[in-house]
Amino acid sequence: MQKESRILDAPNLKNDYYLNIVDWGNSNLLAVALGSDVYTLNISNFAVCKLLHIVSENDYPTSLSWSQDSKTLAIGHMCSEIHLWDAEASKPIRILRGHQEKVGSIAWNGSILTSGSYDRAIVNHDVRARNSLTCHMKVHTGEVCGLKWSPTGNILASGGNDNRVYIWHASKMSSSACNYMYCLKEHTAAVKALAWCPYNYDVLASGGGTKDGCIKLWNLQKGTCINSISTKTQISGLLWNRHHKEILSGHGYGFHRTELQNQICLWKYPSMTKIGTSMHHSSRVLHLSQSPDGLTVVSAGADETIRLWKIFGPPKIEKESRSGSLDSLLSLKESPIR
Amino acid sequence: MSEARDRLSRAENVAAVYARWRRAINGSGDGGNRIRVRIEDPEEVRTTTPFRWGETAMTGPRLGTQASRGVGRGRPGGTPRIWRQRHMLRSPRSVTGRENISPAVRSVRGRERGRGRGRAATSLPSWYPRTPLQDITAITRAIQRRRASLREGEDHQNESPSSIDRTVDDPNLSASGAQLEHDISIVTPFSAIGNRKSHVVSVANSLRTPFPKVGNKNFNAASVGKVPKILHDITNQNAGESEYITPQKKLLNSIDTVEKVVMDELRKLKRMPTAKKAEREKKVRTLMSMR
Repeated sequence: MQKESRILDAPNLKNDYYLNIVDWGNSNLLAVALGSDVYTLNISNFAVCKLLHIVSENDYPTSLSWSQDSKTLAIGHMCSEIHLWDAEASKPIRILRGHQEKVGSIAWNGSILTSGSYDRAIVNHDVRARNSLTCHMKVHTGEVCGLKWSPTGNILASGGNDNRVYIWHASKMSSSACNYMYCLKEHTAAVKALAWCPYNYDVLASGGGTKDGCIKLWNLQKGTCINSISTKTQISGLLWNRHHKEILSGHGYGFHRTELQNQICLWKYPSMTKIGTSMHHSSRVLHLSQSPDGLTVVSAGADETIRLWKIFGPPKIEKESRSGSLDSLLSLKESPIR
Repeated sequence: MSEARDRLSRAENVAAVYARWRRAINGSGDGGNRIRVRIEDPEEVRTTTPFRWGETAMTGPRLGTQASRGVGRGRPGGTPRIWRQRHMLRSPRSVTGRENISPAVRSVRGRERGRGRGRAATSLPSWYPRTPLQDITAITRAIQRRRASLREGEDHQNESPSSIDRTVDDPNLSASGAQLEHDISIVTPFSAIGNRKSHVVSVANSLRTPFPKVGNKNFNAASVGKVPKILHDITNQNAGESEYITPQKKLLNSIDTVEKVVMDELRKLKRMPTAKKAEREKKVRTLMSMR
């Protein structure tokens, strides 16, 4: 697999699996929490802006998420609050409450902000409403560490430290009853890595923690596991390639020294055969995020580096000098689809 | 960039020499009892600057008391010390959860978690000024290359320690002895004299004496180029002669022969039109300067 295109320094990046502190927004701004600060990096010109500094000793940012229009950045805090920031003006807009503990994961779905916490609850906030809290669900028996809305915006997947993945339907989420669609119990460690398939909205990929180390693909029409591969290492992130049928996984600790430990790995979908592995992070990979155009991937590692990888790009179209222009037009080799 | 690598290279030598010295005086077993050296990261110490090396040597229990990290924080009467204390700046709340404990560490020591063994997480050298989200592609790759070459060097050292020692003594020398001997006669005969001890055969050693004479005579490259041929002929000649001559006599003989041959060559050169022309030009220049 090719080298990373750029390496950025990330001093004080928290080495914590249960955080989600790197997010690449649709306006090409990368938000990163380093220690008690939050920075935004404009990827087009690599301009760095310090958005926030938390003075309190016991508080620091624990999760970040850009809204779909990229105007608002939601920052979950150790102190259980969620702060909404206007990214353009670099000003805080609003504080959302509803948790008792650290907010480790955040996911946007239009104007709905879903947050998962160490207090095991999943809370939906409607950021337009004065009383933002719309529903509060406590089904997980462990910390909620992964949250992902489907591309259609009607299904939510939540992963927890209780080794479970819950699937929720947006219209049926309510505080009164636990109306989840499925409870997927096959992982044997915490589930942080969740990714929805961009070409088949019924497919979800999930990755387990150190003890589990499995990437599982689920069919959510039936609630069944389609495929499962053991990587023997902690899976900290999963990303789908929008341009080709591939999945990228970020890996951390392993029980035994394996090839994938501390690396990122590209898999072919649906066969789940390994395409390539990076050999560059010297410590475990903690977070993965994808550029808005879907071509570049950012990985944050415990070696306090952020690496940009151009691995999802379409293949270069090789112009054959031998064949004529008509041949090249008709040739399947020239097709942008692999 | 090349400058930084240069510095790293010297640091490695100092650290290696220091480590050898420590081993030499402390012996292998009870080394830690007599001199207490705080080495935060063995890997980092290998590739650090002289400052860093100095710092590890100086450190004591007071290391963690200073509140900030930085460069050139002087100690009274001490050299500038540089270190990173990110662990001091970290939030007091420790990282918890089973996914934050490395299974490898867990099996050995349960208490160690999160940041691992308290060592610096980054692969950057301690003296490198760190700025959030700064592009460090070039320096990281340079460090990777440097470490790879060091690793190769170490492997080489394990194979043949003596050859490495020689290169450490004089980094200009290449590893191959044959190559060195060759260079002496052709490329830089004068600079190499004195460096060689055991590699050059005695005859070749003796043949160095005429060189300065030759050098004084404003010699051009062509005449120097003939010297190895002369040397070669003489050695062959000597080898053919009787074995009863003592090495000293052999030496004297060879000196005489070489002197004779070289002087002949010189005379021949002097008779050449180019030499005559050069001499004339020299005379003209002297005369012109007297005008």
